[in-house]
Amino acid sequence: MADFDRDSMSEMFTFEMAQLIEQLEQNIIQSESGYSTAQINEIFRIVHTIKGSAAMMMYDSISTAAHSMEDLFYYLREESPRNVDYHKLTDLLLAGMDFIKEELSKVENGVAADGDGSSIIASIKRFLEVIKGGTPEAGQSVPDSSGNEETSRTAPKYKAVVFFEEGSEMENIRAYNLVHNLENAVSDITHIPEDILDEDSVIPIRKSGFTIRFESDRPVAEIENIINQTIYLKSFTLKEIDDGEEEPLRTVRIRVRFSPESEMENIRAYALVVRLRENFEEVVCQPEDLVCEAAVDLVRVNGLELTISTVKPFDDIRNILESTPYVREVAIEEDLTEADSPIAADEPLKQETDTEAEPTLSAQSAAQPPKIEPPAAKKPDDSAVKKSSAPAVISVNVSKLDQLLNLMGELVISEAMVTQNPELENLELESFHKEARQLRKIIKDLQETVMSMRMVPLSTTFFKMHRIVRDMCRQLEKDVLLEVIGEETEVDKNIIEHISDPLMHIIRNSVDHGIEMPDVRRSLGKNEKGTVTLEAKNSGGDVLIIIKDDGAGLDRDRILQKAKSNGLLKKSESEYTDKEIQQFIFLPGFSTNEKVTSYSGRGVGMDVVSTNLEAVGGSVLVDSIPGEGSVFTLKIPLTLAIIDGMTVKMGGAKYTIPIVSIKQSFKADSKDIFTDPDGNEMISIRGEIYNVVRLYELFGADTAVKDIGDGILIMLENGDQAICMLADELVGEQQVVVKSIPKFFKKTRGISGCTLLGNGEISLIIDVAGLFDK
Amino acid sequence: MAEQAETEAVGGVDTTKDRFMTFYIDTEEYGLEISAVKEIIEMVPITRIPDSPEYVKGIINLRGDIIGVLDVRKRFSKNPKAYDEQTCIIVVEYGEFTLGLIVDSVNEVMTIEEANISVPPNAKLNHYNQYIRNIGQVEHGVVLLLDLDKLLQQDGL
Repeated sequence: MADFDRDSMSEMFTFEMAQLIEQLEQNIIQSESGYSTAQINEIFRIVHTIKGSAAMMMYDSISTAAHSMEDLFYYLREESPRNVDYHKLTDLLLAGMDFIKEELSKVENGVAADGDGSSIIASIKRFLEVIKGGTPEAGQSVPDSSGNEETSRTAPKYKAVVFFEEGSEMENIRAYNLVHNLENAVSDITHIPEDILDEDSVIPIRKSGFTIRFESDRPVAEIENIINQTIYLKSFTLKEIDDGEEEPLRTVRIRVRFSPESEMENIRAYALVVRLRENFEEVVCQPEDLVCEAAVDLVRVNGLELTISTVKPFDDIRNILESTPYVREVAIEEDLTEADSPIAADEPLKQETDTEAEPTLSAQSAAQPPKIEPPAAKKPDDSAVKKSSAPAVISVNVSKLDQLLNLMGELVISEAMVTQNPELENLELESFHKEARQLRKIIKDLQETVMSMRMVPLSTTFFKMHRIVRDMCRQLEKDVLLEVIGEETEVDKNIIEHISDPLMHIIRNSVDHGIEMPDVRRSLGKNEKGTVTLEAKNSGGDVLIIIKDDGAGLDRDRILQKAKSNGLLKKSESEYTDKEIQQFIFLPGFSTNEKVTSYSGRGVGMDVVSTNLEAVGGSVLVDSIPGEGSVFTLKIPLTLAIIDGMTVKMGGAKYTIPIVSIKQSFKADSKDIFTDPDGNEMISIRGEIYNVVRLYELFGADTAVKDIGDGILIMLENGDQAICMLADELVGEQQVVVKSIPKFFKKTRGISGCTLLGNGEISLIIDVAGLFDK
Repeated sequence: MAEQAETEAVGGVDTTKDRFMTFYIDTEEYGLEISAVKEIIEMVPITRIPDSPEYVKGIINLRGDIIGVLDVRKRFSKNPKAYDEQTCIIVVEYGEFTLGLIVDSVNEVMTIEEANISVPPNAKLNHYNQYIRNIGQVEHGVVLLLDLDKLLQQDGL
């Protein structure tokens, strides 16, 4: 472990763990009403992997907790007892999982994972005892969690060769897990390759399988079972070896030649010998002294002569030789072993050659027969195995993605600065513009790719809500079904982080305040089981997340009362529209629930929703019908960083409007405008009346263009509303990189950020949604 | 600047100690601790942000970074004066903010020993006294040493 890059290992570990826990959570939540065999197997597999990985990283608190869960599931899987209280089971599992999560977050933060899981483990054990108590024949096949029974000296010896699925990656770690899993049942484990913590051991494992020898007095079926649980297992053979019939030490002499262009043959030879010595019992080389200059010529002319004695299969040597750079030729000159197992250079050596006579337990477990095939059958393909079974997906550090995005932004700005450079004005530059267009096209493609890399589906966030709903139902004794639609909708990674909390608050609010108690629902003639629907969909440049419940809806009077007592009312009660009243719930400190539950009612929550969403340029709307339920609509931008914008001029300043918000722009005449008694200007377009907004008035700026006929009207839409905005003139359409206004400035209504134009000038980005709310 | 300050600290000699960047508003000379000053730039076009106080001039593009700029003259409620070629923006780092301060002209960087620094009089007769932390005595007169905290306090923001 010492040479291990512990940091990257633990990063990998937490990453894998997070994924496993997510899967686990989904499985647990999905199976609360009853665990199917498939789900039990799946959960078993997950906790098993968690246990193994945690043990490997020496996080004992995690591995012991996972171990107890594993024991429980082992029993469930083997005995399929009928007397299981699934709710209790789910509670226990979730508690155990939360404990593991907690420990993981410690690991992530670089703190020692030293939590005490003993109470959880104890309650899991108790639960297991209860189930066992109910089934008389219980007990025999449950592995003793303490594990390390002394195996008698006369225990039979076994040899297992395990192959992992192609592309499973990190075979050495998988092998390590396997060894770890076997430790409880068997003793005296040795394996080839020996150093499986070394990443290079992946190659021999891929090629010739992972060979384990051990002693055990456990039934063969049990050992098979343990091996079978290995994830990414492709096939394995398990056979008993007679005591004493250890594989004999074999000696081969090999001549290695390096390709002529390799240079420094002696150094390459030296490195090879060192590597071989690490792996095999005895390695003698000729010339002996490889470090001196003279060795260069010797090796170049005569090649490097190696005499290797080992018990390991010959393929191991071959693997190392073949994976050494610049090795041109490997000739097996002599097999010095007296044993009757000839090794010829070109005949692929079967590992089983010398042990063919022994009983081969090509495990044919009834559970998964198609998976298991004798490795020998696969052997001939081995050399043909694609060397680059590279996975189609890699994980990348988010900070690199962020950096990429920043650079992308800089690139977009520089492109504009170059192609729209003022010095180019009035020049005849036909081919320049052509090339510039091509450049812009490439940059745009590049940008789309960069953005798409950052897009992640909402499914993870959505699935977390299952847990919340489930926990709340248990505690509040309500019955709620969470329906999820469109979870595959993708949004920018940065945005996802901001919507998890709002979503949680709204869901909590819906379950806690919205959905009534089952008996109330029954008396109202509703289905006892309430439904909360969580839906995501794309709409233009935005993503809409809709949370709909069929509960009681918002209580207009109560909200109004509360608003009144909090002094929030600015006009008389009767003047407020339902919509306005409903929006009150998003104000800080606003909760109409008299009693504080552990989930909501403390008055924090809904205001978090609006602040969090505003931070990413989103908004939230609520629509509620008393007695029928409420609908919360979160509108969030697809992406934050780069938008298509229309730049307009007004006075001396420039403003950029997101293209998605522009419906049309047109010239109008001042006589088309009419004014209401309050001085609000309006215009009629094709029978529809629109408000006219003079931006310079709103922003307190000045412009020479005050006559509607001199400027241009731009129709902006936000949801189902639209207004017409007056600007001096259109400057042009371009992609802009959104930069935030320094925090020093308070949030200005109507401005969502700023951007740099091609000439370095700053343009303020108009927050169209902000123009609409007064 | 932050890195620079750090390396200096490591070196054991704080070259920014007692050193002040001085500038003029009208005829008065003001000083800013040199450690807060990032750079001095010429006047550039400023984009006004609606709804901000008068002394907050807006934002500028500082090599791709957007920073806010304040007019020190306006902050001191002095009579406006047209910007000329002498007008400079002193870029300062203040907490998490980088801000530009518009001043009439920049003078020099000078050392004022602690012994030559005294507190301003108690009586707050002058309106802008509130932004002055100390007064430094120098050969040619006095330098009013500014209190950045107060100068940048976002009372109106």
